[in-house]
Amino acid sequence: MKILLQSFWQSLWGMLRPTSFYSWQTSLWMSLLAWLLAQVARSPDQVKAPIAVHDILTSFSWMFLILAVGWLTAVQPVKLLGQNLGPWITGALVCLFLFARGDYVLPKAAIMTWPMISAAIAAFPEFVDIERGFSVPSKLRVRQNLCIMLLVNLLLTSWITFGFRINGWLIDYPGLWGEGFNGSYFVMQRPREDRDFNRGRNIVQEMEQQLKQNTTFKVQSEVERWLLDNQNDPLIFRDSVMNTLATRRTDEDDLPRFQDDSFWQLETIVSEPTYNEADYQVELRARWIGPRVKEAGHMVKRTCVIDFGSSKRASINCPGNIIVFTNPNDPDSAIIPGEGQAVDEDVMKDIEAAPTL
Amino acid sequence: MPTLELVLPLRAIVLQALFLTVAVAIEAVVFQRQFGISKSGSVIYSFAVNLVSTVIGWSIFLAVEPFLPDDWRMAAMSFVFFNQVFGNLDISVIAPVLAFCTFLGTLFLELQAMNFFIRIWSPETPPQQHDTTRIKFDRLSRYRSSETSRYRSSALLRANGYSYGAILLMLLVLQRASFL
Repeated sequence: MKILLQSFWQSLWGMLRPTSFYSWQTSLWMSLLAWLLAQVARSPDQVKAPIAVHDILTSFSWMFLILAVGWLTAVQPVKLLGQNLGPWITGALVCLFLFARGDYVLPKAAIMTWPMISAAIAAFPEFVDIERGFSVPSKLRVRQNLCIMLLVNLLLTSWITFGFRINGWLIDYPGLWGEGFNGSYFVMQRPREDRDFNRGRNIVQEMEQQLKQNTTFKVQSEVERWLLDNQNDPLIFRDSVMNTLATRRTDEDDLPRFQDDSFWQLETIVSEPTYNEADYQVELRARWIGPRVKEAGHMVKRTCVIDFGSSKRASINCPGNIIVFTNPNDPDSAIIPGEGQAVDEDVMKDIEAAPTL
Repeated sequence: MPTLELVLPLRAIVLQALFLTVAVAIEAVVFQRQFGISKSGSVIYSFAVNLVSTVIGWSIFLAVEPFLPDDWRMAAMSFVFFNQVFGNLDISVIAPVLAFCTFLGTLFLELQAMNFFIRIWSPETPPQQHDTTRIKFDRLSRYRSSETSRYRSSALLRANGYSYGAILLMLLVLQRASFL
């Protein structure tokens, strides 16, 4: 065991011992030294140094580390399919150093600049020579390789940017999650989960809120007026629902407003109650009419009943769950979220209750 | 709407790599025959030229996308996520026009790129354009001797025609396969 450790230590030391002043090992040790000094500079009881010293020393440590790794990969190339990957390893470190350090972390910028920074690192030795200084490479093969490498890295950058762009779409238009990415030539198919329908569900919840706010304790004519207005002008109701949701999002969570408001069609469908002594049954539906797989997008709905009772004032009761239809034309595609909650059989029965009024 | 789930465009990357490989292979053969250059030289030329047009195409899309009207963005999103185009745009008109414009644009870009690469990789090249100023007296022979650049564009047209045809065929097969 002791011999094993000894030989391990010897080979490690043999590798890390600077062979000359100009070697990657020197740079590595400098990096380590700078890091140690930075740790010392941060500790308040030992040295009352300002924070700036710590930052400068950390930067030095990073720079020496980058130099060491760049040097090491130049001396001992890491090859994959004949291509030296060293510059891309060094480039990753440079990107981390520039964009993902300390308090400000910009992962997007770091990933997007990675290919181009790596290409610059890879091209650097071709242009700069210790003896001759800067010169454009004269060999045809070198020139061709440089052009191809630059172009391939530009293509990588395009792919990365495109990846960020589609994820940006999914953030701005969250209703897209509700459609599985079937048949796409761009992204992988993924199974739809319960949470993918959250946007539609939030909208239906807000519709329910507004229904309750506007009709509770109102007399029958006022309730009918409100329901009729919603049917005549569904866009006004949609704006009201969407604006409330957006204000809640911007004010409470300080997040940007969703942009898929116009991709939802809100419907309030009034019918005779089928299973209850109540006076009205109102179906609140949010239908996705944005980018979708089939002509009929997914739909979220909840059924509420309005009962006027003996006091002749409306009381609203929403007995069922919020139901999601991945295909509104097919009642079997219903997804009732929430585990352990009993499904109201009566609600299932009148899933496609004929809308009247 | 999951907050921390990244959707990676892996299929787009794989398909584009595949189409690029096919296009490079086909166009390299055409260049090799038309220009009479070495195998490796023709592969490098067609690779570089195709990469230029691909990268510029991506850049145009990525630069223009934020300014698209909602209809167009909806069409783009439908196409990317669902391979479908719904909305107010009449796709049967737009798709052929767009495809034709892409083809012409590709051709133009590749011609420019090829001229550029011939200039910066001066040795091993497709036939050089002759110096027409030396032929002083005969207009006809001067005209003929300047044909090389036209020859270049007709070779590119042919190469692009073949590679576009091959990619279209592959897309049709893919479409059919995804229906099965």
